[in-house]
Amino acid sequence: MIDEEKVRHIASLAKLNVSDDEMIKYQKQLTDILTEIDKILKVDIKNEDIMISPSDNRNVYSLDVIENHISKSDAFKNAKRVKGDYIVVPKVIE
Amino acid sequence: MRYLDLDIKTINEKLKNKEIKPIDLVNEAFNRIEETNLNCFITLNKEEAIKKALELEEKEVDNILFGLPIAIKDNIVTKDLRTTAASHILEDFIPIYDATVITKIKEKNMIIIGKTNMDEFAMGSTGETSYFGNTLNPIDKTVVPGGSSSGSASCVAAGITPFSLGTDTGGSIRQPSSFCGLVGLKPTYGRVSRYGVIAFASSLDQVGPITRNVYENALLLNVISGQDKNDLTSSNKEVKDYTSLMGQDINNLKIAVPNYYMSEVIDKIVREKVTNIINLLKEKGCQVDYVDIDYLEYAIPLYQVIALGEASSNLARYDGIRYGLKIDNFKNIDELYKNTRTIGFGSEVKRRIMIGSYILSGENANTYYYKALKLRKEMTDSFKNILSKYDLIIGPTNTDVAYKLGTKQDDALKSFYDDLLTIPVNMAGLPALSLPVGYKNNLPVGMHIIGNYFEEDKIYQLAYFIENKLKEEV
Repeated sequence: MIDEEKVRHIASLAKLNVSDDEMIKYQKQLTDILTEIDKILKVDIKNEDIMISPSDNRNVYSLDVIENHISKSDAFKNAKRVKGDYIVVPKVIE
Repeated sequence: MRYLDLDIKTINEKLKNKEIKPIDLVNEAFNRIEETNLNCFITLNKEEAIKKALELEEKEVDNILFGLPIAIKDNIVTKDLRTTAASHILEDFIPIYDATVITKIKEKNMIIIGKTNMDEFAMGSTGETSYFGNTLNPIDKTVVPGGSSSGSASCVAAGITPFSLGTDTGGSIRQPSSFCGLVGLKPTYGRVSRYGVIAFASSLDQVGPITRNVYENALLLNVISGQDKNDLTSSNKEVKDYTSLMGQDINNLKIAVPNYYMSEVIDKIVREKVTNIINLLKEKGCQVDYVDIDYLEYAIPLYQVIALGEASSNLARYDGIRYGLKIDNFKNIDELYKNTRTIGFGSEVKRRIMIGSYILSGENANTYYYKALKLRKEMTDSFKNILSKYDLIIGPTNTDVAYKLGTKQDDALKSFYDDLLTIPVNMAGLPALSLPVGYKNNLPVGMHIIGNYFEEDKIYQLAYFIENKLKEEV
């Protein structure tokens, strides 16, 4: 089973907290899934080709014209704190 | 008698000759929601639906879907109508635009009844991961309706609306359709625009119709298909009339049955039901062969890498700043993110984005993700190889019928194993449909029909034939 430190590391990558109560549950569940995923490492594939998407569209360009405006009031509609032309966020520089 | 229980052609005739009005259908739908009490909606659109129905009285009935009620999965955005993806983190989210599929159904003057319940962010296969509670299966309220499009299936099965839209990333249209005895189609990747669909795994997600029968399913696909400049993965391939092959002779169809789909892992009675259909098709003169498709046994770990990797990236946008839940208890930006996300997401979603973030981090991206992309290519090539020799692939949709609510809820692998037979189709981007073909202990069994890229018309051709044959037998 993966250790507590690794669970905290994984949670932090996903920007989540893990409480002490949930620790054992996550240790078990993440171990189960990661063990399952390891199965693909054993598959022997000679071919180096990859597939990122089923879409075979190539170079789809948009016309160089201004369209589809979102109004400021719409853009701010779902934000919790707005001040003038800005959405308020905590300080991000030290 | 309820008008909504009639077939669409008959309802359309009655609307045309003014025997009924759209408001009659809307009233029936809302009455039925109250009578059935299945929790299949998160948000009702009652006021707007009534307003729209009354407006339509002044308009000419110009298409077969005119004035008909439809339910929309709650991960498809609807302008000014709350859209939550069944998550606490989007509990108060009001979209500022319509998804392309919504624009298209509005152009046909269909009437949106409400937004259906689902597994949170479409992650789950029972409907039970919704922040808004379980959806019930109208066939038997003690079993799951399937998921993630739980409410979209439940409401059509209950006769609330004849149509609903779902989304399918690993089986989320086909599995609930199968568990509720309905017809559900996941179209070819790129057939239907994903613009305005709340992203789970962008290279797998696809919107599709859930209906009572095959013909009505194709009618809705006709409307939602097509290229969209707002979705660069949408295809410019011509949109066919997907009803056009229905009723045509099927005896020239070549059909493959993957051995993997009929193996011991699949319930015996489910296999029997599919075998009955295989025999029926052989009698009719179809060539039906059992075949091997390579790498199918790796579909679940492959899905876990691709889908969860993409999900962790897509769900990074829920940061408590621009929209959605925001927790006020934080000392810095990192705490704002973490506290908001920890409270806003349910446990299935958290587990999945943790795995996704981990397998894309540092050297893991090369070890897991890159390997998965190679495996995805190989699996897709094996499908293409089979479909170069056969028109269609058939088998069961699921390993078994619907099971009791609350079973295996704590098992982290369970919801993935439910999608054992549906996931490979999303990996390859192929179209596939689930069709009811009988019952096991009074619960419906679904048959899977998988087609070649953009050949939904052929899937419907076979499905329509089987549907009619089974009707004759009753």
